[in-house]
Parts: sequence; C-alpha cells; structure tokens
Amino acid sequence: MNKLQILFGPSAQWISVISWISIFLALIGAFSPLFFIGYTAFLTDNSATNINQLQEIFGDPRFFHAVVNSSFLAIIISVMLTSISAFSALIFRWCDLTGSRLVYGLSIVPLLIPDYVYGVVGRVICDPSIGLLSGWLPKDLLINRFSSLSVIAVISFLKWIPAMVAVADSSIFFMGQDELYQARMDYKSFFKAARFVYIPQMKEVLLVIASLGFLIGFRQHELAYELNSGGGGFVAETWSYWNYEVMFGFAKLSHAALESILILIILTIPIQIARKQAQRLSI
Amino acid sequence: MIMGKKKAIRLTIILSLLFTVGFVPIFLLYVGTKKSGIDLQSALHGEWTLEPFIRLFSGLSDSEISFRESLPRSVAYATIVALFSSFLAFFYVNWATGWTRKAAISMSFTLLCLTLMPQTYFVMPALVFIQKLPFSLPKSFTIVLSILFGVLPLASWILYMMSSRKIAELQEMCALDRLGSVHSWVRIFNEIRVDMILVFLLSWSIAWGNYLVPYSLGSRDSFTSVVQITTFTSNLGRDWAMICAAGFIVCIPGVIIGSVLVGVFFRKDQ
Repeated sequence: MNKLQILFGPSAQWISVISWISIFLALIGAFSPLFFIGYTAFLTDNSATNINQLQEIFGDPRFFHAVVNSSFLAIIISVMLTSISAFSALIFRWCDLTGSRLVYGLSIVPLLIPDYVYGVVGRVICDPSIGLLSGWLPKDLLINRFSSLSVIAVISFLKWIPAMVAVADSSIFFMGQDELYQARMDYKSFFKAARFVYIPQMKEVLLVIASLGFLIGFRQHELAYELNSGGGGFVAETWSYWNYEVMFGFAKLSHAALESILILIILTIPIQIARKQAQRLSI
Repeated sequence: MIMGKKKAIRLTIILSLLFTVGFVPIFLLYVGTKKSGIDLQSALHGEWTLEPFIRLFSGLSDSEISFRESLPRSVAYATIVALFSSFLAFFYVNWATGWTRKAAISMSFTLLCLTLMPQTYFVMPALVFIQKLPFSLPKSFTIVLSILFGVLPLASWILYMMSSRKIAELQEMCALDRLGSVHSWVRIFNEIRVDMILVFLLSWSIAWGNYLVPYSLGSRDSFTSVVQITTFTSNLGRDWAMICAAGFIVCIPGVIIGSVLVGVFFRKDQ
C-alpha cells in the first residue's frame, strides 16, 4: 500500500488515480520514444535490418562525421562545464557567497532563451561575412570544422554554465553552515580546505554535471544549424541534424530509427553515470 | 543579516557577470535591428530604431503577418503545456514521496536524462504515431501533446528536487490533523505555491522555446513564434533586422519570467 493510502485511507483513492496517470504519462513521455524507435527500426514494413542496408547506413561518411562532431561537442562541453563550474563554486566559497539564492535565480535566465535564438545571436556576433565582429574574425570561422564546432561549444557553454555553477555551488551549500564553519576552522589555507573538503564534497555532483554536459553537447541541433548550417560541405554537421535529414530530407524513417538505436547505446553511458551519482547523492 | 562591504562588492561582480551572460545576447539582438538588410557590420554604427518592431506588428508581408499570428498561438501552446505539466507533476511528486528517496531520485533522474536526449528522439515517434492513426489529428493538438511529453518528466524532476521533503512533511501533518484528502491537497498546494509557480514558469518557457517539435510536426498555420523567425529568410537572403527583432520579441517572456524568478529568490535571500 502506498504512503498516501496509509495516511489518508480510502479518501485518497482519487489522488492515487491522478498520481498514477501522472506517473504513467511521465514514463510514456520519457520511454515511449525508445519503443517507437525500436518498432520503426525492426518491425515496420520498411525496417532496415538486412546487412546491405546496415552497411549503407553505417558506411555513410556523413553519418560518421556527424557522430564524431556531436561526440566532440559532447566531450568539450562536458569538460568545460565540469571544470569551470567546479572552479566557480570554489571561488564562490572563497568569496563567502556560497548558497546565494539571488545568484541561483539569475543563473536560470540564460536557460529561458531558446536555443534557436542563441544560434541567431551567435551568427550576429561571429558570422565572418555579416556579423558584428566580422572584421576581426577569420573568414572560415564557421566553415572550418574545428573552429565551427568550437564556436558552437562556446555558445552552448555560455548558455548552460550559470545553471551548472549553481548546481556545483549548492552541493557545497548543502554541507550546512556548521560544517562549512568547521572546515574554515580546521584549515587555515583555503587551498587545503578545497582539496580535503570542498572538492570531495562536489565530486558526485561534478560527475552529474559531466554527464548532463555530455547529453547537452550531443543533442545540439537548432543552435548548431542556425550558427553554421552544417559547415562547409557538411563537415561540422551534428548528429541530431543529420538524423533529422535522414528522416525528413531522405524520407528514410527506418534508417533514422536504426541510427538512433546505435546512438542510444552511446548515450546510455552518461545517463547511467548520472543516475548512479544522483542515487548516491540522495543517500 | 547585514552583508559586509567586501561581500557586497564580490556579489555585485558575480551578479554582473551572470547578468552579462543572460542579457547581453538579448541586447545584441536589439543592436542587430539597427540595420535593415543582410549586412550587420554597419549595425554598430547605425541609429537606434524601432522600425523593425513596428513592421513586425503592422507589416503586411506574409512573414510579418504569420509572425504576428503565431504569438497568441505560442502563448496558448505554452500555457496549456505548463498548466498540464505543473498539475501532473504535483501529483507525481505527491505519489513519489511514498517511494524510498533512492528509488524516487533514480526514477526522476532517468526521466530527466531521457528528456535531454536529441530532440529527434521525440519527433520521430510522434511522426510514426501520426502516420499510423486511422484519422488525422489537428496539428496544434499533436504539437501540444508532443511538447507536453517532453516537458512533463522535466517538470516532475524539478518539483521533486525542490519540494519533495516539504510535501512529505505536509502530508504527515495533514494526516495528523485528520484533514480529508481534498482539504489536505488544497493545503499542500497552498504551502508549496511558490515552488509550483516556479515549475509552471519553467515549463512555460521550455514549451515556448521548443523549436524542433513544432517545426517538424506543424505547418505555417500552427508554427510557434520561434519557428516563424526562420520565415524572414528568402531567396534574396536573410533580413537580419527582422530576424533580430523577432528573436528579441521571442526573448521577452524569458526576461519577464527570469525577472520574476530573480525577485522570488531575492525575497527568499533576505
């Protein structure tokens, strides 16, 4: 019997029904895409399961490039978010600003601006032909693979870093005022306190940030496409955009589904890490 | 607690940095509206003007009319999604407080991670589902439903992280006071109303900013404002002043919601 029924008896029946509907919908929202993708890839009339089709999908250099590009973005954004958020949280601690709710509130603002608009802003600033800084930037900035992906990484990083700093900072804040005071008393040097108290305290949250950063980097779509339109000869195309093209441009739904399953295997790793770390945080 | 002068200076510096990251992009969009046409280089030296905004709200070209029409539609989509997701998230969290914390966090976190997957994971199932249906659904309905499926797990996770402990305590207090289930839930809702407002606003802004779902599943008469920004591109090139003006308008709800959030957090900080 659920806690609600223990507490409120039969009168909680209607709440149970609505709650189960909510849980069911949340689960459907999160998991049904995976079932549909499996269905489209293997069970529909146009399923792409024979060897020739598999070779066609996975041997496509554009697919390969797109996966490498998205993985590059995922790794770079993950590393940047993790290191800078940890560093910033330590600076907050050093400045005695840990747990400022005002900072937390303001850190949400960039998340409220749509990705597509961030892409437009990126073009407004960085486009070497028409952008505001065009006179100072290399002409192939958004055409060249490395530079183009780097610009995407930096802009996505700027969007997400305030929120991640707030998450890292909150992990120190939740130690409690007494423990924070104790750490300050025990270690006269801030660096020692950081090494022996604050960084170990942040360790699990940083793994969560790294995992989320990986997912955020890998999912880049509209920001990336608005910014570089895939780069010169699609060299800087992200996987999400390529997958969209396979679906709508080439009308090969089953191919797109099969690719998604392969990518899902890669994305399961950060999801599992994040879930495990979140579990540990809750103990 | 009175803040020391040094701490106040440090806080001001950090807030200024955050303000720069959050608001400079919006300011740059406004700068972009200064120069009409496809060349932004001269915008820095151009005169401040409201002409692109006036065109957006009174122009007669197809793009301008479509953008205007998409604004109330986008507000309606986002409001419906936010209302349903906050309501359902409230009940999700009420039930999830009965689970062990480890299980509830694990579940909520998995849902969060799945919603952070590439958006094509949401578009493809919706597309397959629509194709298999024996009847055709209105495009607006499909868009709202698809966005809701994406936002609900996120809203549930945020509300769980913010108020699960508070809700668990309130449930026990209500049971001790021998309140009926309806009274209990009114009381719990009332006690966590600030958190609910935050979840509503965040859900609203996520739904408002969604690009790929309406772009893939909709048509010109069901597109959202974010998607309509793309219509200012023609064979002649991009009308950057109009794109920037439309982008600026699309950011305004985010700025308002952000300001409300900052205000709420500021009051909590006092």
